[in-house]
Amino acid sequence: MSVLPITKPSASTRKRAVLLADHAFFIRVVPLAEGTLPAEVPGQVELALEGLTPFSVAQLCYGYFAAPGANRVLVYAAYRRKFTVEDAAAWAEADVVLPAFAACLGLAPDHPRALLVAGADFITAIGWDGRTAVPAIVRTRAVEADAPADTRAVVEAELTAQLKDFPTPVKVAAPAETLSRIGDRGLEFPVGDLVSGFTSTQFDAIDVRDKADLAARRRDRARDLFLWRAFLGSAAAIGVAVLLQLGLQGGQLWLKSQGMRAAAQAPAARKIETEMNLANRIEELSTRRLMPIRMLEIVNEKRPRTIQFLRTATKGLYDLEIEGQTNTTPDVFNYQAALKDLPACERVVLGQTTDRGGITHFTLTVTFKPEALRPAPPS
Amino acid sequence: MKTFFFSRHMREKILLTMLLALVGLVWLGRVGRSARVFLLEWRANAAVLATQQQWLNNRAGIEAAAAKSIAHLDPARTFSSPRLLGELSTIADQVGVRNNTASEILGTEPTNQFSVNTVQVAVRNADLPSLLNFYGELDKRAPYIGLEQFSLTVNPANPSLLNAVMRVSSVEINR
Repeated sequence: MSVLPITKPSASTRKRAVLLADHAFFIRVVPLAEGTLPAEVPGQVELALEGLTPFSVAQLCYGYFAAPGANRVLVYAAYRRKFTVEDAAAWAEADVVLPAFAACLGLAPDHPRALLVAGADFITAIGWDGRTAVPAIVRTRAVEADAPADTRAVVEAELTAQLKDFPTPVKVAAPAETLSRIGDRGLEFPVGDLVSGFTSTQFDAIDVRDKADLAARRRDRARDLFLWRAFLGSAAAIGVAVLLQLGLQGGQLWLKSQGMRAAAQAPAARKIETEMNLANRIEELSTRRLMPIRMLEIVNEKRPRTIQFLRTATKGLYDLEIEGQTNTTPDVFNYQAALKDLPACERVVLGQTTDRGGITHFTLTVTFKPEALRPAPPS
Repeated sequence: MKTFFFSRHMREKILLTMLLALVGLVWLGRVGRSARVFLLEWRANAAVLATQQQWLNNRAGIEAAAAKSIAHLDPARTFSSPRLLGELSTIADQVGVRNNTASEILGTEPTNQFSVNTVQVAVRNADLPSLLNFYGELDKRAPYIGLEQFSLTVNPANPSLLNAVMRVSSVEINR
């Protein structure tokens, strides 16, 4: 349960980082058992805090800095009542709240290095041994904001003495809240000429606010982000629809012009088509004339005397449709078979056949071979 | 915009997103249907234009083929629609079925070089020899006059008499 509840800020008043005075925190480097998984680190930190302080974890504002593969974790904590309700309100507006020195932890040098971080009312010494990204030692001292230079020099000398196992410390000003930014490596703070960066995994760990509230804020952020992306997606869909609509309107204009072009050249094309069709018909008149009498002669050769033709009609140049009747039904099939055997006939199809009062009515369609109906050359 | 969105209450964010999503979906759906119709029209139009272009590209060849098809015809022996009617009447007279014959002009299909005229002739209650003579006379006039369709029906009242319906066409050279 958070003593200082975090209220939700409005986006317009939100700021990136709140950096607290280092001297408000006690800072310890806690060793981790070998093989500790990243998911187990928060529990180890809480256990360590229970042992290191007379307060319960719920009464503390704490954060920690861990790194993959590191055999230690840097823990910093402050009694929650050190901070006022107004402070908490200001924190609610921030993306991250941490002591100023913690902003330098993202430097993570791969070789031994020491820093003296000078704030308005504190000076903090940080020493990395180069084996892991987690510092081996962090010491902080409070100084009066208006302390004379020689007083500050004494404090710096004292802290430098504690960094005797490290290279000569580099003195840097404490990072400024307003200079924090989201960069290539995540959250970044300028530290002297260097940049201290934190990944998204480290982001919540270094924050000293209540972890449950932070988890809730993270969920809210994820939900807001999802909605924002859905909003953007919908806006993009509308944008695409607008573009398509405009494209279609342009396309309709183009299609209309194409339609007008087709209408304009249709008479000419139709005329050419007609000319070709008529030329073919004239050609047919000379070479492939309709020969209905020759057709009748051929089909009459094999006609049984019992079959009478009622109607014959040509269909195209080579087909003859015969409607006939007979009082001897089998003769219809015999006649069809006889026609099929004729060399002049290509195909004989028996159509509708009905029998009424002993009279069978039938339809035969005979397709002749073109060579059987070839006319004599024009004289 | 992002600042405005994130500063809204949750229900406002959800409402805004749903509203925008609904508008987007409906609009995209309508545009999609219009696009499909447009695509169909475009394809149909493209097919028409391609066919037309094919005819236009082959114009010279078709005109040459048409000219060749009528090259062996004597313009003086070709028949206009009235002349065709008159000729059919003459043939009917020659074979003795004039009183049983009815003719009707069905139409004329003109081109730049020639026209094809079509007439339907019906000969009622004629005997077979007369019809064969009629057909024979028509055949003599080929290719200036051609038979395009022929149907023969037995007269139910008198099976020795026949009804014939013929569609006859003639070539008319425009010179």
